[in-house]
Amino acid sequence: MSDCISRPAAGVTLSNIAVAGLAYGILYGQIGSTSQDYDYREKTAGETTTWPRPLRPKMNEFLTTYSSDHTLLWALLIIGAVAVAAISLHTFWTIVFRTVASLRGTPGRGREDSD
Amino acid sequence: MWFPNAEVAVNPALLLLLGVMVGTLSGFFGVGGGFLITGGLLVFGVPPVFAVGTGLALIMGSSIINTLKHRHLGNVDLRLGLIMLVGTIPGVFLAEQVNSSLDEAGIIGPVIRYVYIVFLGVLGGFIIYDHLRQRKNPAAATGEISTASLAKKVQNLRIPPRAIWLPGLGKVPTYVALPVSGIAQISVFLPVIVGFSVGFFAGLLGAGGGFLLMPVLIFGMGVPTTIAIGTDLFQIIVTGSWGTFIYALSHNVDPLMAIIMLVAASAGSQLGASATRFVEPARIRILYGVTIMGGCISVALDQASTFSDNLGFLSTVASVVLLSVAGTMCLIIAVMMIKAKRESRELAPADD
Repeated sequence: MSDCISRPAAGVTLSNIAVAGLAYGILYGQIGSTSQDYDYREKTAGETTTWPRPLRPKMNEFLTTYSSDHTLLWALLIIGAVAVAAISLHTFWTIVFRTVASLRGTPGRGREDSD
Repeated sequence: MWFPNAEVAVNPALLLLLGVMVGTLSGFFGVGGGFLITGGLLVFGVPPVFAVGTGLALIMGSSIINTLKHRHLGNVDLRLGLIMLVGTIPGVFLAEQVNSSLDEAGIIGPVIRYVYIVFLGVLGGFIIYDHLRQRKNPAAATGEISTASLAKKVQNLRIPPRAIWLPGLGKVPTYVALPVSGIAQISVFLPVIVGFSVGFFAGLLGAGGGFLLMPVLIFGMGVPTTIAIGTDLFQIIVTGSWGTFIYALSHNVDPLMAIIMLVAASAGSQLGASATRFVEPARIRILYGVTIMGGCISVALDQASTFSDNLGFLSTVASVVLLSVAGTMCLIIAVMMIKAKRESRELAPADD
């Protein structure tokens, strides 16, 4: 979406730019929603009354533009990121359990080592 | 917190809570928890298509963590899992074609919901019936499933040919031993057919298929409960990854949301997977039966909400029912594990 704003293609009508600008404003919390299409945000559980602002605008921009520009790479990136995160988290918990087991003085009797 | 891909703001604490529940149930029952994730994310205001896509990414990550954990516990029959994969992959592809046809006909939503209701209802009902039958007959309550004789017959099925020729490998026998599952000899065609069927329905329903495979392995093939859970999770990695890939291609996955839930799910997984070592298999089965009956009621309420505009509130009730059942199950699992650990500690000095 933001890519559409920064590099508008030839032939893009004024109304398209206006809609994109409005969407950009809503997306980055600069203006409130005026459209019914965005009503679901207001009903979101646990949300405050003010529009949430992105914590890391650069990361948000990357997430939105990269997904639309490089579809296949984006899909592979997601698969890879989730797989790496899962393996890292498993390793983290294995280390935690081993550390706890060794601190309790029961090496090899920890949940991870007892099988 | 703002999620740029799904274009929605959700309180991260709620995502973490959902992640813990999914991880716990996934590790304990060997299911991906797709129906729970989608229902939960819808309640949080995530657009439906992102709820499914992001849910699949969480299923994939959570099943990787749980498979690794169960492999550590010796609960994964890799040989059985790999044979089933031969059937799972074409099953998922076929389901995609059927899905496209149903989508073109504009009946995909109701068809999926009705298939869900039938599967969840039949499986949940059967598991509860099996448990009650065992309780009524204490003499037969050895912890063995009521379909043990059927499972033996299935294992002894002789499906020709006894060997097939494969390029590069030559003549390969079609009967294998699965020592981890305690099966002396079985035709490879049987797990391939099971894998194909589960892959097909998993692809059709947009889920990991674990809720189907787990009871089929236990009651149909006679695989021990804990081995069925671990092997089932190994299968879900493949179906979950494929689903995630397809949804990511159409930009319907929010990776940030998936990773946040995955962090919490990893903590829940440790509880769920470890609990399978302390809780009796019969108890795991009855809790699973109750959970999927809850899922059945939830999907039925969701379908009922489409009958009339006045019944729209039933959709929210459905998600609340689902989350309540899942939350209660997580608490029961935690309590059962604590109790079982205490009992084992009390018995430990006597053993020494």
